[in-house]
Amino acid sequence: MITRRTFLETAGVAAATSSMLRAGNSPVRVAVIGTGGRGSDLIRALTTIDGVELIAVCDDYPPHLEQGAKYAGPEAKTFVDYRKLLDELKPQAVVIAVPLYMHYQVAADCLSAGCDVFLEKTMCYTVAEAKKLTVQVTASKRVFQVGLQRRANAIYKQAQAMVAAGMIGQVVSIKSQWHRNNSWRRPVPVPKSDADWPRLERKLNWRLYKAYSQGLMAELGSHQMDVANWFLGGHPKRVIASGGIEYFRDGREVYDNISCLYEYELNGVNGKPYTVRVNYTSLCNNAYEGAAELVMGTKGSLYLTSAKGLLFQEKGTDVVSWEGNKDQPAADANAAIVTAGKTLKLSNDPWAHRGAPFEIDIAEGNDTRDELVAFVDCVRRQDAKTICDVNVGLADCATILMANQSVEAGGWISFPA
Amino acid sequence: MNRTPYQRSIEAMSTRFDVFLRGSKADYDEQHLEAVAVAVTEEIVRLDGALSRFDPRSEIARINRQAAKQFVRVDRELFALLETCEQGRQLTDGYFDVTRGGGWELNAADSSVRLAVESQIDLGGIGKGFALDRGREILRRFNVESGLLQGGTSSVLAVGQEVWPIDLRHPLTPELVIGQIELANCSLSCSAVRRSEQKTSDIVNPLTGEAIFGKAACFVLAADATTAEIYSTALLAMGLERASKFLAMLADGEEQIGWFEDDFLWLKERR
Ligand SMILES: NC(=O)c1ccc[n+]([C@@H]2O[C@H](COP(=O)([O-])OP(=O)(O)OC[C@H]3O[C@@H](n4cnc5c(N)ncnc54)[C@H](O)[C@@H]3O)[C@@H](O)[C@H]2O)c1
Repeated sequence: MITRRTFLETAGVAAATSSMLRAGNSPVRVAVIGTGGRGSDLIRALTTIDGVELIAVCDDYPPHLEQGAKYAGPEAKTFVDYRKLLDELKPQAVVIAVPLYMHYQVAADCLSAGCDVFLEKTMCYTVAEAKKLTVQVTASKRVFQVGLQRRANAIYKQAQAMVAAGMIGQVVSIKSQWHRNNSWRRPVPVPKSDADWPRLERKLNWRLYKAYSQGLMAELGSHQMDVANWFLGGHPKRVIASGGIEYFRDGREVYDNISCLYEYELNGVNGKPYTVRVNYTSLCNNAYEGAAELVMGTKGSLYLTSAKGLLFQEKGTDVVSWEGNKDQPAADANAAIVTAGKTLKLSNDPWAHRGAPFEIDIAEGNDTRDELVAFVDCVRRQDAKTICDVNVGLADCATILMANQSVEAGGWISFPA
Repeated sequence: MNRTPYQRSIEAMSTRFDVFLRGSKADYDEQHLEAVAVAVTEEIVRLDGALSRFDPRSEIARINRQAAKQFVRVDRELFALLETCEQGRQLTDGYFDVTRGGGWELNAADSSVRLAVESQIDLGGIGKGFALDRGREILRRFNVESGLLQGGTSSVLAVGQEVWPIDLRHPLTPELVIGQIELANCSLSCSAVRRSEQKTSDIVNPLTGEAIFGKAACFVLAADATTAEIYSTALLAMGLERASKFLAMLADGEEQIGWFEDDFLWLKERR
């Protein structure tokens, strides 16, 4: 039987905190390439981390560069050409948030320039690129991290530890989805009649065009399939998927909905393999269920989002012995311990008929900031073991791309060798 | 301009926001308006995520946890908002105070903040207005000439020259219309001591630390929503008498200020 105490220990992976980066050490010189939506989030987060000196921002679209420069502050230089930035400033680390089709080229150039690299998800536009990048990272011995921030999220870290500790029994299925209800379009600052519209449409709405984007699987599914890979401790064996453009017939080339069935082959305790099926769907025209994963085990289910984690015990099983705080020292109430392993508290959730829900209590932490804190910490220590390394990125990339391939080919697709 | 505006709504900052947009040029079709409206709502949700003191993931929550012990670095966007709050505090003789009298130190050299012991930041009185002002920037950047943005019905921002008629409702008896204004290219912020279902006010007089009482409501029209929020919160905390004196001393500006206690009256009209 697993008590609350044992899983606190299992889960006791202390998050790197910026307080580790004590003043006195010289700051890490960081540049950001790509200052659109995500780049701006990352810039804002970087400017709050002690020991980070944001030396430059780069974007080839002037309005976004201007925005990035505003968030970065007057000390950061601005560049239109990232190669010039690398030549002139030789940053120690770069944070890359350009569109997917540019990921490989920019990351490879930064590694060649000797930089440690934080690269947004999905790692690469093709598996071939992802493999080349993996070889380069490994040979270069640079610090490399992919921006799959659930790996830094306190709820997911706790949940993964709970699964590993057997708290929900044998995982039998994962059901996850990212459902939203909007066209997934960014506004374009000129009307369609303007001669510059086609260029700006493709520049700003790159997500919608196949030359730059791998659609919903890369932009949304990559986060959630990484959770499946992480929790199941491997990658899928094969997938069958179906998708299409059924509603937003506005000239886009990527699917506005996709449904996937993945199979993972795992080894049982008795050495006999068994299959776990993962259902993944993404929709652009119905937001019911939002973005979440439901990890279902023989003894319980974990419902996970970036902001909430719930454990539903299967009725009639003895999964968690809930002991309140009686075996915990009084200091357990203080934040430091709560951060290391999330306290479970009884929830008055309306879904109580599914079995008593426990809530993974998040005390603090923002996963985007925390993933950067962890990255900077690795850079500082020159530790290649980042929370989301190149092999994780490669597996994630291959996992999501095989679903797109299945839609196109029609039929089962195996994980690439 | 009689066409129904494009509308999109979102829940954020513990309330509902609505975005109404009208495209004036044939070129800016509904597809464009939808994309702009989504950009606005996503910006509001993003700001909620940064500014909410209830969300442990927010920047404000991080500051509230850490900044009593040391200076905490915050991003430039948030630091600029904190500076605006500080200017608002000075402008209103301390009656607008996001630390509720607790006090803080802002260090512009490295965008950092430190809280006095026991002090906590609560941007509830200004966050909605700030979000609406950011929404207006998006409308302008993407050439939407006319729009109405509102959060929780207490913060409203009309963008463009179109006139939007607004009913002012009695804070305790919302069926009663106590006044009507026409809003164009202007923001409106309303603060009331409490809503009908509340027993006490969530507005505190920062100088005494006590919740305000009574049944007053203050309505402020200003060029931007952030300013409107500062005045409506501060004036209500002052109470009618002090607010009247304060306004008499205030240099003529664009603001227009209405007060409701038993009747509606304008304390300051726009020049
Ligand atoms: N981890 C997350 O939660 C998350 C969230 C959103 C986006 N992302 C990822 O971040 C990346 C960027 O997405 P976004 O939403 O910010 O897109 P975006 O279009 O808003 O920003 C991309 C920016 O890169 C710039 N750019 C393109 N080519 C460039 C070049 N050669 N040199 C310099 N700048 C260049 C563009 O001008 C643009 O400003 C994508 O890979 C996306 O998947 C991750």
